[in-house]
Amino acid sequence: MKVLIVGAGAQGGPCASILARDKDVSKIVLGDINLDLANKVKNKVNSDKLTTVKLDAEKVEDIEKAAQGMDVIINLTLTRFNATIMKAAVNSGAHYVDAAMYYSLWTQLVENQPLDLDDEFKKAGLTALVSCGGSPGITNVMARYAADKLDRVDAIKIRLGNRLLSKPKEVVSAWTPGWCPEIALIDYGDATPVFEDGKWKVYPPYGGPEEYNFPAPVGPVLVTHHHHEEAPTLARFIGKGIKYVDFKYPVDPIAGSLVKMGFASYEPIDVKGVKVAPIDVVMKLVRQPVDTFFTATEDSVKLPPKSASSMVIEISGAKSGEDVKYTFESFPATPEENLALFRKFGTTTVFVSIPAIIGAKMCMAGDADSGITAPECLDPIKFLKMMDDMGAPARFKEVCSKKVSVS
Amino acid sequence: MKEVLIIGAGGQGAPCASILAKDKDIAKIVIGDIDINLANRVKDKVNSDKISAVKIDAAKIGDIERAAQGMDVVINLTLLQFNSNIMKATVNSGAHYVDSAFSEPIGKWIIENQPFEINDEFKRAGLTALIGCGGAPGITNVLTRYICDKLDHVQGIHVKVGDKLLEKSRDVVRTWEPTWSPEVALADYAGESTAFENGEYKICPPFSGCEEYNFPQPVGPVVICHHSHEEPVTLPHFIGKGLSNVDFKYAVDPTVGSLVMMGFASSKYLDVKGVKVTPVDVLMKLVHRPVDIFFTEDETSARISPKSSHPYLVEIEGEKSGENLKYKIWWPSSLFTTAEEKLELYRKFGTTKISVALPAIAGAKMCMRRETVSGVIPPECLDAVKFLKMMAEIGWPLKFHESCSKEVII
Repeated sequence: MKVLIVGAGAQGGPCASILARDKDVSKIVLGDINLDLANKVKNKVNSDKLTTVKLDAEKVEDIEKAAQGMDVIINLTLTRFNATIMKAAVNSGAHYVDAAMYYSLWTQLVENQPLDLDDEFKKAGLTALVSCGGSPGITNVMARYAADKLDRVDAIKIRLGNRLLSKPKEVVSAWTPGWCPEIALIDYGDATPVFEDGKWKVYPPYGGPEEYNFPAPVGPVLVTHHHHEEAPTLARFIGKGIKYVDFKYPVDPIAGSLVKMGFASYEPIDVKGVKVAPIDVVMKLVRQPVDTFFTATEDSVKLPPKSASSMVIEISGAKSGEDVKYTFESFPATPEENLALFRKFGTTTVFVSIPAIIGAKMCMAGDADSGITAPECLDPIKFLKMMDDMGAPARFKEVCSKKVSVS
Repeated sequence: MKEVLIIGAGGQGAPCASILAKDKDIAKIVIGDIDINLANRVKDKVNSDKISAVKIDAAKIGDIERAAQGMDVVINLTLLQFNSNIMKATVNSGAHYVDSAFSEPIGKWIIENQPFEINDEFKRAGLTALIGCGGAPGITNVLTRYICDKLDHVQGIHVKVGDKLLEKSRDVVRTWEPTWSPEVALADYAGESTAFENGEYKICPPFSGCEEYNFPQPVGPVVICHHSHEEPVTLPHFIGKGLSNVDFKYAVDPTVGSLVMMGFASSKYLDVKGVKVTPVDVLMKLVHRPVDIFFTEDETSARISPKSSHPYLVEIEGEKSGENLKYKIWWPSSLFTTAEEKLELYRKFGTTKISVALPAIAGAKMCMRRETVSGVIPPECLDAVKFLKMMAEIGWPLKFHESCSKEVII
């Protein structure tokens, strides 16, 4: 398999590292507007299979040039470039996989409009597999895994939670988003469409607050509706009569304050005679998440984690006339598991790239429909087995519950 | 019959005009601001024959002197950078001076305990410059003095300010909404603070000295930390009685804390996509400013129960007749607790935001009645009982809790 990775950032670096160690992969091209960054990754990964190229993801021609002869493009850059990269993929005869969605596709899914480039991919016999990372991605696959056990699917609820395991040293702290700050701030500031009663209802930011009880050590966390990719694709693709899909995420009080005060806005304001967009000022000041890809070592990955996170997927429906609910709870990664991942892949940041890579392999093997498709459309057993074969099994606690009355 | 010039028609100046308008000892009130439209808006809202509005640029001593002609007292309720000008213009015009906040250079002079020019000028003129006579500083200093008068020796004075939402807020996230000048508030949070420890002044870094303090119900435990304030500057110098420790701690506001930690208090220019701005200017543009409440208050809004509790509490350790005593005094910073009290305030003064203006006026009236010494003095130099009686005379007696504890062995 020959892969073009667009974006040498926090996900692109690990992706290159994983692909370099994959015997099914013969060539990797890593493209970024910042060639120095791409080369930094190349030096770290240190594989003959990997070359780098400077490309501006806003320019279709740049991407097409880099995609020459490639089987699949894995897009791990900012979502505003998605449409351009998709276009370049279908023009170059390559499959396309990404891990996050852009507005236009979102709107088309929610408003039941035809999806841009769907026809072009179908005609070319190629797949555009969208939102195939961790969450979205693994979450969608688990939803499908449960849906396959049911005759009817009523509701899918996805909850992500986290908790700091030790008291922070600082009494007050700067906002330190764990992922791309610009996307994080917009996510927190966005109204969220929720699939309720078979229709889309828009909630304001921080709508639907709920104290959700995550398994230990996370425990109860205040979560609210959060703009995330699972809702629009699951509502469209799961079928079986689905009526409700939502995604809730912990409240980040600092991001929330920034949003509420107007800092997430792109509208320029006049500041002492000069025009500036508040979000641009935040982006200038915000601490970028540390790219641990370059700094992680065997010793650092073995350290006990500073926080615990949990992913819970609830799928309720019916089987043979009986109401049933499946709940999947993720297990926190242990230091031993992290060390094993690090030794195998050169990084522990694998749970966005590995699902994307598996998606790419399934596209290559003809195991994905052509046109625009989502992870829940793939064979979940095959997908999960491939994760295990690659050395990064998706481990979940599966709980099946139903109401019983013995007469 | 007295005449008062108020400088600053903002969040404190407007309530000050409103209270003075109802005071029978006051014949004339002039309210001055660089924004004459704002001063006129206040004049119209207060709606009293006693008030006139004037444009004053507090950066120009001449402007202030012109407005201060014939005034008995100048109450300075504007930004701290103008204090020196206003003090100078006031003594030149033969009036007393009152403010509710100060920083440099006066803070430094008091700490260094050296003679300073403006102090001599006020003394020579037989006039008083009463500095820091608002709520805190102000009532904090007076009540501290009230308690210290009961003691032979004083070891420590610890001022604490708490903050607690009384009902579960429907808001999942909060914004930073300073209840006083955002510029001053931000500098207070972001700056180093002064404390007095073991007989010496020391500088504390921002957000240091954190402790979880258990305020009386309904507030409960609140995390507080050192905060830049006037009390630790003046109390060591003026209370005496062997005082060796003074500090001021304020509730940690995580929102402004994050803004400060992110660099939003900085006045260093950033290049943002080719345009030069300072983070603090951007924040000041977006922050919700408190002044408008004066104009929008009415009987309906005044009936709404307070949503949060913001207590001031002072702990004083000392000794009387050989016995070690610890006093605690506390009161609501707003000077009211219930919706009924709030409504009563509104009906009496035309505003509920009296917590800074009322003590400033009490101090001003004591100056005008020659009940104060001349020179630059903080409120702990006033006769505490006379001050409390003056607040009652103005129409709002100060209600506070006082507890005294000691170790007993039987």
